[in-house]
Amino acid sequence: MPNRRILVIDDDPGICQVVQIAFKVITHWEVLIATSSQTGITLAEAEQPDAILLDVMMPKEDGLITIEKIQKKLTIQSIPIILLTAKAQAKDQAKFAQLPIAGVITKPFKAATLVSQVRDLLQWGE
Amino acid sequence: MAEVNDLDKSKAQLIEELAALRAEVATLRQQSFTDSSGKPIQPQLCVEIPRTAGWGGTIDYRNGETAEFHQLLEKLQKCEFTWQTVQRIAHVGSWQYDFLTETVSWSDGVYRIFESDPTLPPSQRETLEQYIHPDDRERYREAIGQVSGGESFEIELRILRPSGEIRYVEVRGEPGVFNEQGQLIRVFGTLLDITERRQAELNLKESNAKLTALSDNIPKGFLYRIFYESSNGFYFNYISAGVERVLGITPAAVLQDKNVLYNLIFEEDQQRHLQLNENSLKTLSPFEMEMRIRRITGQIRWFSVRSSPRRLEDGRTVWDGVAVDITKLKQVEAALRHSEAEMRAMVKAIPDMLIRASKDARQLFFSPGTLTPYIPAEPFEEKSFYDILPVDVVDQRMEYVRRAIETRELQVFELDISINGRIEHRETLVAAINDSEAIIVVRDMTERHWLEQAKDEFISMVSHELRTPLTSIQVALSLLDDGLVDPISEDGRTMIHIVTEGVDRLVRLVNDILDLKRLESGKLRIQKHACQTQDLIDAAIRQMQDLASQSNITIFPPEESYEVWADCDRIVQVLTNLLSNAIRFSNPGAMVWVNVKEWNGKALLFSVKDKGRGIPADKLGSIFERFQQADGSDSREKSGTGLGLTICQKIVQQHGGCIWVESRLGQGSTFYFTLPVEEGKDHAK
Repeated sequence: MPNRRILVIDDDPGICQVVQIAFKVITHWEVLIATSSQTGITLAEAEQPDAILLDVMMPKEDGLITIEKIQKKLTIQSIPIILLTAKAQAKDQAKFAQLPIAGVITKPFKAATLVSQVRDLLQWGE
Repeated sequence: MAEVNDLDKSKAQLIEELAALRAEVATLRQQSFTDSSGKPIQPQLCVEIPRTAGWGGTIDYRNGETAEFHQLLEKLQKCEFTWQTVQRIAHVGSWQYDFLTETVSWSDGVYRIFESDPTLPPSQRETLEQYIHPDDRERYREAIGQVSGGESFEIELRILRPSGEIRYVEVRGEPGVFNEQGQLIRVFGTLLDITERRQAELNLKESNAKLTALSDNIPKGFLYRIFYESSNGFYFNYISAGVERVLGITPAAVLQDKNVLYNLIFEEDQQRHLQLNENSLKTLSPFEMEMRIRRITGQIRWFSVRSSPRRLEDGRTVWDGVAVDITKLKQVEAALRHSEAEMRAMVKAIPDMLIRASKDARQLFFSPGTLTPYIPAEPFEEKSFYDILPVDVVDQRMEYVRRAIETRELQVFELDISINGRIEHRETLVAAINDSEAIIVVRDMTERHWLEQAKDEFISMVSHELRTPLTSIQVALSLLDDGLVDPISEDGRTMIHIVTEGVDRLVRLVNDILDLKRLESGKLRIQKHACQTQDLIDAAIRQMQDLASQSNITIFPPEESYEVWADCDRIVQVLTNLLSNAIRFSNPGAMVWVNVKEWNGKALLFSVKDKGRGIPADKLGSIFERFQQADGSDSREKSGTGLGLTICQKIVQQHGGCIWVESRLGQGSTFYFTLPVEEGKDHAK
């Protein structure tokens, strides 16, 4: 069973920590964390994770800008991205639907729910 | 044969000539002729004088032709021809009545007038009477009787043509030939067709009657004719019956004395009336005036009086005019003016912009209300929308105007328009007035729109700010709850810590939001007491001590203390907030200073200074706005609620003070705020 590696990019360190532990405890996947777009992209290029969980609302460069930047980089543009967002309104959903991403997960979420949604969206059934 | 100048002879003259000729003939008849031997001879030549000469019969001459006779005959024929021509041209005919034969004979002219067959002998007596209009037969007989008695007559009567047509004729007759005993043996006469003339007379009479009927029946008005001559001045020659109806005075009275009417003219209008009269007389220009005239009952009415003058050959001037009662009209005009004034006043009071628009994009009426027009316009100045607004605004507006007119339903839409450099948000309502016009009401919604947008943004931000800590709380608790993590393990302890922090953050956020809301809505009342600044600063430092210790940060309070009139708890809140920021944005082991001093003698100046991260220059302006985080770095370790500075600002403002910041990126920030010292209160040290 190949061990999955996920990169979590979220400006809230609390969320990064709990998500890291959640995946460790439930799926034993390795979780890399970054608290900004810049750090996250650098880490993605270096580590080539199997997927990226990306927060939408971050100061400076938000999730959407991060997606644009990733798309422009050959080495990481094919890594599937899942957006994590507190915005659940219809007009936001419509915006997200246009993006080249694997899916959207809305905050807040329980640990188990997060994991199962990620599994479904990436079709990593185990 | 007849010469032109013969035609000029009047028929009277010709009749005379004929009579003279006949007399000559008669004389000739009585002459006796002798031949060369002296023997009397009887003329043997019989000349048939044609009936058309006015008499029929023969003249019997016993002797042969004589030169005199031929001359006479020629003369006769000439005369005859002239006479015929005249008759033909003048629609005149001549007739003769012979008492001896008791017959009447007619000329061609008479046949023509009667339109009867010239080959037949003329109607006689009773048959003749058939051709005379029954109503006129009596007079005809009288006339005949008159002339039989030796008197001339002249009558007009109607004759009936065989076709049934009635013709008017003038018949004249006079005694013509008498015998030796002095008895009248022949009557001569003429018949003149005067139908055209009579018709013209009748038409004129009819026309006059019509005019009178019309003028007498003008509703609320009258016709008149005034003359002016230097000897008599102005006088009425005619005034229709309407004057009695509208003013209560009779035409007869006015004709007698113009002042019967003139005195009724309203005093204030009399002067102008006279002036305009004089002017019209002098310049022969039309007279036009609206004037008030009193009815005989005393009631005042408005009249529109108009007449046009002509100068006559005899030097008189005549005006033909009409006067119409326009009181009702004047009343309606006044009511309209009044209602228009009311409408204008009402419209001025309406703060909305009002526009009356035509289907073809014309502005018919405009009242800006309190809004600033794109291009100003006068209320009733008609303009094309395309001349006063941007094309796209007009196109959009006209689309809704057309829709409103078509569907007769109220149309509502919003638009943004740049007015003098400022974008305004306006709500527009369009309602149809009729098939071609609509009324447009424009309301300024800029502030409301901005507020709504701000509210939406705020909700969005708050929702995000709440969900963020809730996420870490929920993930952590669910791991513990599901038994996936043991509470007493290291991971477990981390989870509990994260939950605790998250809850704290939520509590702070909720408190801040509620505070802010209460401050904004004015429900949080500042209650001022006398406070010592020392006490306030100490309380704030105490609250922040733990946080400061965590990063080894030292806070230095001021030495001086002043008395200030303020809401102590709220000021402590402000100081706490500022200290919290200073601590969070300073590096470990750093120092923070709190100071207070007098300012301009009227206020106290507080300051909280740090040597931490600093705030970028572009953020300085907006740092007091809601949810503005001045994070220069990528990390968000020391996140606050984003509302702290906003709350500080509100509290300080409610005290009547100001708050601001001076900062340099990388060198630190100093937050200042002032609190006014109430007058009369001195500050003790």
